[in-house]
Amino acid sequence: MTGRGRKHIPLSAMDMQILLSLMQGPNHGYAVINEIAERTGNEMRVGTSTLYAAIRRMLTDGWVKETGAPPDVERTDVRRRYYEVTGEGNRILRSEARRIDQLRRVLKRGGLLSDEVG
Amino acid sequence: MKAPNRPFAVRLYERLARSMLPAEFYRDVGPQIVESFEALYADAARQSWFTAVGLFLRELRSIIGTGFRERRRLPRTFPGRRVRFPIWRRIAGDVRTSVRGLWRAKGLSAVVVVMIALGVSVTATVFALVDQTLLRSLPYSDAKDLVTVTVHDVRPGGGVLASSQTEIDNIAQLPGVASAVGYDVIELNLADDVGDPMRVEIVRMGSDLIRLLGIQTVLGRSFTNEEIVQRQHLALLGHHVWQQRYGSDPGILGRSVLIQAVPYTIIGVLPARFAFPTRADVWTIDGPYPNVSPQGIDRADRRYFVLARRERQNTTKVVQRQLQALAIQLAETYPATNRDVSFSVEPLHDTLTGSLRRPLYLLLGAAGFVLMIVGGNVASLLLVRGASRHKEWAVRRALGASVARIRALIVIETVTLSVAGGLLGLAGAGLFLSLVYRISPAEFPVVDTIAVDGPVILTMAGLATVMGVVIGLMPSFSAGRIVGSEILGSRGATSSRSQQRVQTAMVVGQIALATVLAVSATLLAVSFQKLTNVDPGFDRANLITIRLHNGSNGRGPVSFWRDVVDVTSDIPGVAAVAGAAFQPMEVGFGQQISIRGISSTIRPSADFMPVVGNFFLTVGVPLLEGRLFTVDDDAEAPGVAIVNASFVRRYLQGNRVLGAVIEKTISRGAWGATRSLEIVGVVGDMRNRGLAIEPEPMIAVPHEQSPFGYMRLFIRTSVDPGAVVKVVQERIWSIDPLLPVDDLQYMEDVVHQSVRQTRLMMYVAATVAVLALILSALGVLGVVSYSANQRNREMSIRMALGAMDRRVVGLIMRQGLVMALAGVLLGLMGAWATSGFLESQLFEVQATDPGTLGLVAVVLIGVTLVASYVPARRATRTDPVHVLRAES
Repeated sequence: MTGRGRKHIPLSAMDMQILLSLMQGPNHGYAVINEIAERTGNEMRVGTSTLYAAIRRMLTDGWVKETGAPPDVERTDVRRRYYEVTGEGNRILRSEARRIDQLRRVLKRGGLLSDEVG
Repeated sequence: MKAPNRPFAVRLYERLARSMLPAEFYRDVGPQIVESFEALYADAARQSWFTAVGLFLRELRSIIGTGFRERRRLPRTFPGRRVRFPIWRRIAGDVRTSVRGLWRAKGLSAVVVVMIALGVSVTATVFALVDQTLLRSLPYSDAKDLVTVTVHDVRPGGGVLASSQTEIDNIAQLPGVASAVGYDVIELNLADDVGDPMRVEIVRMGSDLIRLLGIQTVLGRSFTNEEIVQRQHLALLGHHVWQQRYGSDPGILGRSVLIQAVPYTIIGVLPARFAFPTRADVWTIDGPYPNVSPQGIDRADRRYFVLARRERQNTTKVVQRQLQALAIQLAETYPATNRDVSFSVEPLHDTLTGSLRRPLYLLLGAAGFVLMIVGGNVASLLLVRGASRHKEWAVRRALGASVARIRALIVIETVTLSVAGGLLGLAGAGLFLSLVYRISPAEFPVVDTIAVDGPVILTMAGLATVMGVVIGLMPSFSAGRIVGSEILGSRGATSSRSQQRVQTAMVVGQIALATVLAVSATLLAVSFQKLTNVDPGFDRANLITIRLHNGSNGRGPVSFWRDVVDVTSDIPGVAAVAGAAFQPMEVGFGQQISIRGISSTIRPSADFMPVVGNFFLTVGVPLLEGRLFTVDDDAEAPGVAIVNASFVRRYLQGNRVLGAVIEKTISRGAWGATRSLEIVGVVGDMRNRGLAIEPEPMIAVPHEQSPFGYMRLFIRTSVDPGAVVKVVQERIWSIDPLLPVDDLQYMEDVVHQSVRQTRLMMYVAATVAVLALILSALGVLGVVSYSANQRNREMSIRMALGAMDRRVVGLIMRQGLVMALAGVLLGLMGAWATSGFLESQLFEVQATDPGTLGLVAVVLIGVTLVASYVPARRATRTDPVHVLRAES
């Protein structure tokens, strides 16, 4: 399923948020949902099934991978899985960030955005 | 985490997620989803229940959305452009596919459609009858406020009385009553310059019945208050009279017609569907009244039925209480006319349909049974078909169709079948209804036509669809169990044991239902048989009757009737001629009497019947004691009477009969004052209330002593009565050319008519039962032949090893026999349990009559055995070698 990744560019806001949460190291679904809510000031509340549908797709596309629990977690639910961003995922997230940055500059030149934004 | 003490919301969430998310998806990440939800829910629940509910709803939306999106993302087997059709296009496609499939199995589809059509037509017919007579409101404005008031003589044996105009005025003034109108119906002669004189049915009204019902005339106007007070001679025409006699002439208004030789002016025409209290010809204002004093019209002048409109805010119960109070008050003030008189009130709708209620609901029950049998049959046929289609489903499954989609296809198929059957059934219902209506129009007084109309079609469409879905779901569940890999290449058509059990159970149920219906039908047939064998008490063969009402030439009834008898009795072919006020199957004038020297707790009453000539000889009623009337019993002679056997039994038991004197105080009608009548003879009973009802006491009096204008001529012929009718007519016209001589009846028909409700019930029940029998026989046939097919291999081996045909037949038929026995047993228990409902419709036969039950059991078991013999026989005809080779 190579090439499928291209279909996800531009990344949806949710996908980007998920990748962001998984970039700092292994993390699990519950925490990701809470982080996204926190980061967006409760603007974005991701549904559990929606989240896992996205994670499952990213797993298939090789953007994220499953990892063991981080060493500082001593006791955990057997059902709990941890995921982190792969090199591919990292590349996509960064290229997307560059795309958005370019876009922002274009918009600013066009007078659509003020300097304070971003 | 520990499963047992998880909160309900979490368990619910897990269940929803499991059922709504695609299986593959759930296998991959389901536990993680539930785990995250559990943690989130715990957080939310700690905050507040409101947050928890919000979270749950959000998560539910997420499941549904994900379910949809993930399904669309399911791997497609074929590459290519993905076209998403709108839902209606998809359904249309499915319907096309299913119609193509059904067309391929033409025979089976036809059988199914016909079965459903039969079931629906029976149900729709009965439903139309129930809906349009019992459920729908009457076609009058605010019909639910209309009530009938009945006047009762509360003394033992008292019965029902008519009401007087003054009494009706009292009723109208009650606070709970908005208005009340008295009316009666009578047949009179109408003459005009258009055609032959005609007998018309006239509704005579105390005040404006038309306004009370809220009916508008289609032409002209109704009566004004002034016209009513002045009792003007004005008439409203029924629509059919206006159409047929006057060719819908709009210039009819203001025209004058002679009613009983009195001129009436036509002021309006009533709507076509209007038929209250009957489908009469003319509506007029009654009066003037003979005895009017300053207190009003004589209270003894009891001549009306009473229709009233209650005040909206009052219930019938309230009106009933007010009427009771009124009855007490009137009894104190006017003891002569109102002692022992009470009133009762009932909604008009109940009055009109009360006697139909039970028979119709019984029929509805029977129709429901037929529909259930049909449903069972169709389902079991489709199960058989379903079993042979496992291969097709497996292919569809392998090509990527989901189980839900296959199920949908099957359901669409059965719905298509039931809709087709339903449409055909509705057409059939139209046919049935016209048939029912032709057999028995008088049974349905509420509306003049009963048709398959909007509500019936809607109900039946709904029913057919539900039936299609339910029936379709059954085989579809067995289809749902199919996994693509399982079937391809393996055994093509086998049914599971559980499926056969379902089928067998359904057939047993069908036989049981058919048994109940057959028992009811047989009981009704036996009743009908007994009823038609009842001796009506007179000789009905070659006896005709013509209703005559003298008066258009102003002659007195006595001389008129003398002439009628004179001119008709010497017609060739006429054996005897007589007259009487009522015909044998008709209820006469109930009159209160007393018998001199005999006091009893019951106040005697009897039907009074003036007779002309040798009435009893003419109609064939035997003289039991004393003598008949002679020419000497004329107006100058002392009053005499002949009573029937019932009269003697009830009032003169143990007393001298001949010579006893009957005394009667007269209020209205033919007799002027108190009369004494000496009993000179006793005759046999005629059934004067209908065949099923014991005769009531009757007093016959000579017409010369009690002249009466409204009589029937009876003619006994020695040849076919049809041959003399024309001459009789001409002879009567020779006396009075303006006299209508059109109401002629054969007494055979009159007797026949009197059992028409029983006959109608019997016909319908018999049709339904035969239908049920055929359907369940088909069911047995289907199941037994199917299982015989399944056991083809076994039977072939048996036969190859030397089993006799007889043994094979026996083996297969045993299955049919077991089903028959179980079904019949269940059915007999059902019939026994439901016998109470039928009891009131039966005549001289018990609902649990052992002979009937036995007969039905034997017939049903017999039919079932025949139905299972056919496939059994076929099984022995197959060539064992052929079968075994094909299977290996």
